[in-house]
Amino acid sequence: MSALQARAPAPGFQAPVADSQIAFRALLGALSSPGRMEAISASHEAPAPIGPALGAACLTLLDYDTPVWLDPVLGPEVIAWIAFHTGAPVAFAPERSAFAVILSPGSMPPIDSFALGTDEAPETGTTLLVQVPDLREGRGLHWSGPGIAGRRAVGIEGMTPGFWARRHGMGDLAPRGIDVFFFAGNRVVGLPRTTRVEV
Amino acid sequence: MLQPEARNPRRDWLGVLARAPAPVLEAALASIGTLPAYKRLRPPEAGLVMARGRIGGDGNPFNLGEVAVARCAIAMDGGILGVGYALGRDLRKAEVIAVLDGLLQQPSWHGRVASEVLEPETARQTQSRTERAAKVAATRVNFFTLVRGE
Repeated sequence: MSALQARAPAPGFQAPVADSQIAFRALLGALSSPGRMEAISASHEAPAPIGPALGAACLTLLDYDTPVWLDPVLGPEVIAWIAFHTGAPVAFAPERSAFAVILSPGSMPPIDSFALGTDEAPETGTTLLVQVPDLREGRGLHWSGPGIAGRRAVGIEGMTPGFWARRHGMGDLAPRGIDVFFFAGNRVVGLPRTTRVEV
Repeated sequence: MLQPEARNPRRDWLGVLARAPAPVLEAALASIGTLPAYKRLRPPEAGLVMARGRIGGDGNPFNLGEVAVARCAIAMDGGILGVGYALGRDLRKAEVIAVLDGLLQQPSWHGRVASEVLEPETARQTQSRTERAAKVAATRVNFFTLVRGE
Protein backbone atom coordinates (compact mmCIF):
# COMPACT_ATOMS: atom_id res chain seq x y z
CA MET A 1 0.00 0.00 0.00
CA SER A 2 2.76 2.44 0.85
CA ALA A 3 3.74 2.77 -2.79
CA LEU A 4 0.28 4.19 -3.42
CA GLN A 5 0.40 6.84 -0.76
CA ALA A 6 0.75 10.38 -1.99
CA ARG A 7 2.61 12.92 0.15
CA ALA A 8 0.63 16.02 1.01
CA PRO A 9 2.15 19.51 0.86
CA ALA A 10 1.04 22.21 3.31
CA PRO A 11 -2.35 23.88 2.75
CA GLY A 12 -2.72 26.84 0.38
CA PHE A 13 -5.28 29.66 0.53
CA GLN A 14 -8.39 28.59 2.41
CA ALA A 15 -10.58 31.04 0.47
CA PRO A 16 -8.67 31.23 -2.81
CA VAL A 17 -10.70 33.97 -4.47
CA ALA A 18 -10.93 36.39 -1.53
CA ASP A 19 -7.42 35.67 -0.24
CA SER A 20 -5.74 36.21 -3.59
CA GLN A 21 -7.72 39.42 -4.12
CA ILE A 22 -6.65 40.71 -0.69
CA ALA A 23 -3.02 39.86 -1.42
CA PHE A 24 -3.14 41.32 -4.93
CA ARG A 25 -4.61 44.58 -3.65
CA ALA A 26 -1.81 44.88 -1.09
CA LEU A 27 0.86 44.15 -3.71
CA LEU A 28 -0.67 46.70 -6.06
CA GLY A 29 -0.71 49.28 -3.27
CA ALA A 30 2.89 48.51 -2.38
CA LEU A 31 4.09 48.95 -5.95
CA SER A 32 2.11 52.13 -6.60
CA SER A 33 3.36 53.78 -3.45
CA PRO A 34 7.00 52.69 -3.30
CA GLY A 35 8.43 52.34 0.18
CA ARG A 36 5.06 52.44 1.95
CA MET A 37 4.42 49.37 4.01
CA GLU A 38 1.37 47.24 3.30
CA ALA A 39 0.13 44.32 5.36
CA ILE A 40 -1.14 41.09 3.81
CA SER A 41 -3.55 39.10 5.90
CA ALA A 42 -4.42 35.93 4.03
CA SER A 43 -4.81 32.42 5.34
CA HIS A 44 -2.37 29.74 4.25
CA GLU A 45 0.28 27.57 5.85
CA ALA A 46 3.41 28.07 3.78
CA PRO A 47 6.27 25.86 4.95
CA ALA A 48 9.26 27.56 6.64
CA PRO A 49 11.17 29.65 5.78
CA ILE A 50 8.45 31.23 3.60
CA GLY A 51 6.70 33.90 5.66
CA PRO A 52 2.99 34.82 5.51
CA ALA A 53 3.35 37.74 3.10
CA LEU A 54 5.80 36.04 0.72
CA GLY A 55 3.66 32.89 0.75
CA ALA A 56 0.53 34.88 -0.10
CA ALA A 57 2.39 36.66 -2.92
CA CYS A 58 3.55 33.31 -4.36
CA LEU A 59 0.02 31.88 -4.31
CA THR A 60 -1.37 35.08 -5.86
CA LEU A 61 1.17 35.86 -8.58
CA LEU A 62 2.53 32.50 -9.74
CA ASP A 63 0.77 30.21 -12.17
CA TYR A 64 1.59 27.73 -14.92
CA ASP A 65 2.45 30.62 -17.24
CA THR A 66 5.16 32.15 -15.06
CA PRO A 67 8.53 30.42 -14.83
CA VAL A 68 9.88 30.97 -11.34
CA TRP A 69 13.50 31.07 -10.23
CA LEU A 70 13.87 29.58 -6.75
CA ASP A 71 16.58 30.43 -4.26
CA PRO A 72 18.87 27.38 -3.86
CA VAL A 73 18.33 27.55 -0.08
CA LEU A 74 14.72 26.42 -0.57
CA GLY A 75 14.13 22.80 0.37
CA PRO A 76 11.96 20.16 -1.32
CA GLU A 77 9.03 20.93 0.98
CA VAL A 78 8.81 24.53 -0.25
CA ILE A 79 9.36 23.54 -3.87
CA ALA A 80 6.58 20.94 -3.61
CA TRP A 81 4.26 23.49 -2.00
CA ILE A 82 4.81 26.03 -4.78
CA ALA A 83 4.47 23.39 -7.48
CA PHE A 84 1.27 21.93 -6.02
CA HIS A 85 -0.55 25.19 -5.43
CA THR A 86 0.62 27.29 -8.37
CA GLY A 87 1.78 24.86 -11.07
CA ALA A 88 4.54 27.33 -11.95
CA PRO A 89 7.43 25.78 -13.89
CA VAL A 90 10.88 26.17 -12.34
CA ALA A 91 13.27 28.44 -14.27
CA PHE A 92 16.88 27.38 -13.87
CA ALA A 93 18.30 30.50 -15.51
CA PRO A 94 17.49 33.83 -13.80
CA GLU A 95 17.11 35.58 -17.17
CA ARG A 96 14.35 33.13 -18.17
CA SER A 97 12.19 33.75 -15.12
CA ALA A 98 9.02 35.80 -14.69
CA PHE A 99 9.35 35.75 -10.91
CA ALA A 100 12.19 34.98 -8.53
CA VAL A 101 11.73 33.85 -4.92
CA ILE A 102 14.75 34.96 -2.90
CA LEU A 103 15.36 34.24 0.78
CA SER A 104 19.09 34.79 1.04
CA PRO A 105 19.54 38.27 -0.46
CA GLY A 106 23.21 38.24 0.57
CA SER A 107 24.00 35.55 -1.97
CA MET A 108 21.39 36.26 -4.67
CA PRO A 109 22.47 36.54 -8.31
CA PRO A 110 23.17 40.13 -9.43
CA ILE A 111 19.93 42.02 -10.04
CA ASP A 112 20.82 42.66 -13.69
CA SER A 113 21.18 38.93 -14.37
CA PHE A 114 17.40 38.59 -14.24
CA ALA A 115 15.17 39.35 -17.23
CA LEU A 116 14.94 43.07 -17.95
CA GLY A 117 12.09 42.84 -20.42
CA THR A 118 12.25 44.34 -23.88
CA ASP A 119 11.26 47.73 -25.25
CA GLU A 120 8.28 46.08 -26.95
CA ALA A 121 7.28 44.01 -23.90
CA PRO A 122 8.70 45.65 -20.78
CA GLU A 123 6.33 43.64 -18.59
CA THR A 124 8.36 40.49 -19.30
CA GLY A 125 11.05 41.63 -16.86
CA THR A 126 11.51 39.45 -13.79
CA THR A 127 9.68 40.52 -10.63
CA LEU A 128 11.80 39.72 -7.58
CA LEU A 129 10.09 38.50 -4.42
CA VAL A 130 12.67 38.98 -1.70
CA GLN A 131 12.16 38.02 1.92
CA VAL A 132 14.31 40.02 4.35
CA PRO A 133 14.67 39.98 8.15
CA ASP A 134 12.98 43.35 8.68
CA LEU A 135 11.46 46.41 6.98
CA ARG A 136 11.51 49.90 8.46
CA GLU A 137 9.84 53.13 7.46
CA GLY A 138 11.47 56.46 8.19
CA ARG A 139 15.06 55.26 8.42
CA GLY A 140 17.38 54.00 5.71
CA LEU A 141 18.12 54.89 2.12
CA HIS A 142 16.22 57.70 0.44
CA TRP A 143 13.80 56.71 -2.28
CA SER A 144 12.23 59.11 -4.78
CA GLY A 145 10.32 58.97 -8.03
CA PRO A 146 6.75 58.34 -9.22
CA GLY A 147 4.39 57.54 -6.35
CA ILE A 148 6.54 59.30 -3.76
CA ALA A 149 5.94 62.90 -2.72
CA GLY A 150 9.46 64.25 -2.35
CA ARG A 151 11.64 61.63 -0.73
CA ARG A 152 10.95 58.70 1.55
CA ALA A 153 13.42 56.94 3.83
CA VAL A 154 13.05 53.18 3.67
CA GLY A 155 15.08 50.60 5.56
CA ILE A 156 15.37 47.17 3.96
CA GLU A 157 17.38 45.03 6.33
CA GLY A 158 19.53 42.31 4.83
CA MET A 159 20.11 43.90 1.41
CA THR A 160 23.80 44.34 0.70
CA PRO A 161 25.34 47.65 -0.43
CA GLY A 162 26.34 45.72 -3.53
CA PHE A 163 22.65 45.18 -4.40
CA TRP A 164 21.88 48.90 -4.29
CA ALA A 165 25.04 49.81 -6.18
CA ARG A 166 24.27 47.25 -8.86
CA ARG A 167 20.68 48.46 -9.18
CA HIS A 168 21.90 52.06 -9.40
CA GLY A 169 24.50 51.02 -11.96
CA MET A 170 21.82 49.62 -14.28
CA GLY A 171 20.98 53.24 -15.08
CA ASP A 172 17.81 54.34 -16.79
CA LEU A 173 16.57 51.43 -18.90
CA ALA A 174 13.00 52.73 -19.18
CA PRO A 175 10.66 51.17 -20.07
CA ARG A 176 12.68 48.04 -19.25
CA GLY A 177 13.71 47.17 -15.72
CA ILE A 178 13.10 45.00 -12.70
CA ASP A 179 10.41 45.42 -10.06
CA VAL A 180 11.09 44.17 -6.55
CA PHE A 181 8.88 43.30 -3.58
CA PHE A 182 10.45 43.04 -0.14
CA PHE A 183 8.65 40.92 2.45
CA ALA A 184 9.10 40.54 6.20
CA GLY A 185 6.53 38.66 8.27
CA ASN A 186 3.14 39.80 6.99
CA ARG A 187 4.41 43.12 5.58
CA VAL A 188 5.46 44.08 2.09
CA VAL A 189 7.22 47.04 0.47
CA GLY A 190 7.35 47.59 -3.29
CA LEU A 191 10.32 48.91 -5.24
CA PRO A 192 9.26 49.46 -8.86
CA ARG A 193 11.76 50.00 -11.65
CA THR A 194 10.96 53.72 -11.73
CA THR A 195 12.09 54.45 -8.16
CA ARG A 196 15.49 56.08 -7.68
CA VAL A 197 17.40 55.00 -4.60
CA GLU A 198 20.23 57.22 -3.36
CA VAL A 199 23.28 55.11 -2.66
CA MET B 1 -7.59 0.17 -22.74
CA LEU B 2 -4.61 0.24 -20.43
CA GLN B 3 -2.09 -2.54 -20.46
CA PRO B 4 -2.24 -4.65 -17.28
CA GLU B 5 1.21 -3.53 -16.07
CA ALA B 6 0.21 0.11 -16.42
CA ARG B 7 -2.86 -0.29 -14.22
CA ASN B 8 -2.76 1.54 -10.97
CA PRO B 9 -5.33 0.67 -8.31
CA ARG B 10 -5.56 4.27 -7.14
CA ARG B 11 -6.33 5.44 -10.63
CA ASP B 12 -9.03 2.79 -10.87
CA TRP B 13 -10.73 3.71 -7.62
CA LEU B 14 -10.58 7.43 -8.40
CA GLY B 15 -12.34 6.65 -11.68
CA VAL B 16 -15.04 4.59 -9.98
CA LEU B 17 -15.60 7.30 -7.36
CA ALA B 18 -15.77 10.04 -10.00
CA ARG B 19 -18.48 8.14 -11.89
CA ALA B 20 -20.46 7.24 -8.75
CA PRO B 21 -23.61 9.28 -7.99
CA ALA B 22 -23.09 11.84 -5.23
CA PRO B 23 -25.83 10.43 -2.92
CA VAL B 24 -24.15 7.00 -3.00
CA LEU B 25 -20.83 8.48 -1.92
CA GLU B 26 -22.47 10.64 0.72
CA ALA B 27 -24.31 7.64 2.16
CA ALA B 28 -21.11 5.61 2.17
CA LEU B 29 -19.26 8.33 4.03
CA ALA B 30 -22.07 8.56 6.58
CA SER B 31 -22.01 4.79 7.14
CA ILE B 32 -18.29 4.88 7.92
CA GLY B 33 -19.07 6.94 10.99
CA THR B 34 -16.32 8.90 12.68
CA LEU B 35 -13.81 10.10 10.13
CA PRO B 36 -10.19 10.92 10.90
CA ALA B 37 -9.45 14.65 10.96
CA TYR B 38 -8.25 16.20 7.73
CA LYS B 39 -7.16 19.60 6.42
CA ARG B 40 -8.18 21.16 3.14
CA LEU B 41 -5.06 21.74 1.05
CA ARG B 42 -7.09 23.06 -1.82
CA PRO B 43 -10.68 23.84 -0.88
CA PRO B 44 -13.27 22.42 -3.30
CA GLU B 45 -13.47 24.51 -6.46
CA ALA B 46 -15.04 24.23 -9.90
CA GLY B 47 -13.23 25.00 -13.11
CA LEU B 48 -13.06 24.13 -16.77
CA VAL B 49 -10.87 21.55 -18.42
CA MET B 50 -10.45 20.91 -22.12
CA ALA B 51 -11.82 17.50 -23.02
CA ARG B 52 -9.98 15.86 -25.88
CA GLY B 53 -11.17 13.08 -28.11
CA ARG B 54 -10.33 10.97 -31.10
CA ILE B 55 -12.88 10.16 -33.78
CA GLY B 56 -13.63 6.46 -33.72
CA GLY B 57 -11.11 5.97 -30.94
CA ASP B 58 -8.12 6.52 -33.19
CA GLY B 59 -6.67 9.27 -35.33
CA ASN B 60 -5.29 12.52 -34.00
CA PRO B 61 -6.72 13.90 -30.76
CA PHE B 62 -8.71 17.10 -31.11
CA ASN B 63 -10.20 19.51 -28.58
CA LEU B 64 -13.79 18.45 -28.10
CA GLY B 65 -14.77 21.32 -25.81
CA GLU B 66 -14.52 22.51 -22.26
CA VAL B 67 -16.26 20.65 -19.47
CA ALA B 68 -16.89 21.71 -15.89
CA VAL B 69 -14.86 19.81 -13.31
CA ALA B 70 -14.93 20.08 -9.52
CA ARG B 71 -11.77 19.27 -7.60
CA CYS B 72 -10.50 19.20 -4.05
CA ALA B 73 -7.34 18.14 -2.21
CA ILE B 74 -7.10 17.23 1.45
CA ALA B 75 -4.35 16.10 3.80
CA MET B 76 -4.82 13.44 6.46
CA ASP B 77 -2.63 12.55 9.39
CA GLY B 78 0.73 11.23 8.32
CA GLY B 79 0.83 13.56 5.33
CA ILE B 80 -1.45 11.47 3.15
CA LEU B 81 -2.78 13.40 0.18
CA GLY B 82 -6.33 12.71 -0.94
CA VAL B 83 -7.59 14.18 -4.18
CA GLY B 84 -11.05 14.28 -5.71
CA TYR B 85 -11.98 15.17 -9.28
CA ALA B 86 -15.46 14.80 -10.73
CA LEU B 87 -17.28 16.04 -13.79
CA GLY B 88 -19.74 18.81 -13.00
CA ARG B 89 -19.83 21.48 -10.35
CA ASP B 90 -20.74 19.41 -7.31
CA LEU B 91 -18.14 20.74 -4.85
CA ARG B 92 -19.28 18.51 -2.04
CA LYS B 93 -18.85 15.43 -4.22
CA ALA B 94 -15.25 16.39 -4.99
CA GLU B 95 -14.52 16.74 -1.28
CA VAL B 96 -16.16 13.38 -0.45
CA ILE B 97 -14.06 11.69 -3.15
CA ALA B 98 -10.91 13.31 -1.75
CA VAL B 99 -11.71 12.01 1.74
CA LEU B 100 -12.44 8.50 0.44
CA ASP B 101 -9.21 8.58 -1.58
CA GLY B 102 -7.32 9.54 1.57
CA LEU B 103 -8.90 6.65 3.47
CA LEU B 104 -8.31 4.12 0.70
CA GLN B 105 -4.57 4.83 0.85
CA GLN B 106 -4.40 3.80 4.50
CA PRO B 107 -4.14 0.07 5.19
CA SER B 108 -6.24 0.47 8.36
CA TRP B 109 -9.16 1.90 6.36
CA HIS B 110 -8.68 0.41 2.92
CA GLY B 111 -10.53 -2.87 3.50
CA ARG B 112 -13.58 -1.24 4.99
CA VAL B 113 -13.96 1.51 2.41
CA ALA B 114 -13.28 -0.93 -0.41
CA SER B 115 -15.98 -3.36 0.73
CA GLU B 116 -18.56 -0.70 1.60
CA VAL B 117 -18.15 1.67 -1.33
CA LEU B 118 -15.73 0.59 -3.98
CA GLU B 119 -16.80 -2.99 -4.64
CA PRO B 120 -20.59 -2.43 -4.77
CA GLU B 121 -20.14 0.67 -6.89
CA THR B 122 -17.70 -1.03 -9.27
CA ALA B 123 -20.20 -3.88 -9.68
CA ARG B 124 -23.06 -1.47 -10.31
CA GLN B 125 -21.09 0.47 -12.90
CA THR B 126 -19.96 -2.69 -14.66
CA GLN B 127 -23.54 -3.96 -14.74
CA SER B 128 -24.98 -0.73 -16.11
CA ARG B 129 -22.27 -0.64 -18.78
CA THR B 130 -23.06 -4.25 -19.75
CA GLU B 131 -26.78 -3.54 -19.89
CA ARG B 132 -26.26 -0.49 -22.02
CA ALA B 133 -23.95 -2.39 -24.33
CA ALA B 134 -26.58 -5.13 -24.65
CA LYS B 135 -29.31 -2.59 -25.49
CA VAL B 136 -27.12 -0.97 -28.07
CA ALA B 137 -26.11 -4.33 -29.51
CA ALA B 138 -29.82 -5.28 -29.94
CA THR B 139 -30.32 -2.39 -32.31
CA ARG B 140 -27.37 -3.28 -34.50
CA VAL B 141 -28.15 -3.40 -38.18
CA ASN B 142 -26.04 -5.45 -40.53
CA PHE B 143 -25.86 -4.26 -44.07
CA PHE B 144 -25.00 -6.59 -46.86
CA THR B 145 -25.17 -6.42 -50.58
CA LEU B 146 -26.86 -9.06 -52.68
CA VAL B 147 -24.77 -10.30 -55.45
CA ARG B 148 -26.53 -9.51 -58.65
CA GLY B 149 -25.63 -12.07 -61.21
CA GLU B 150 -26.63 -12.85 -64.71
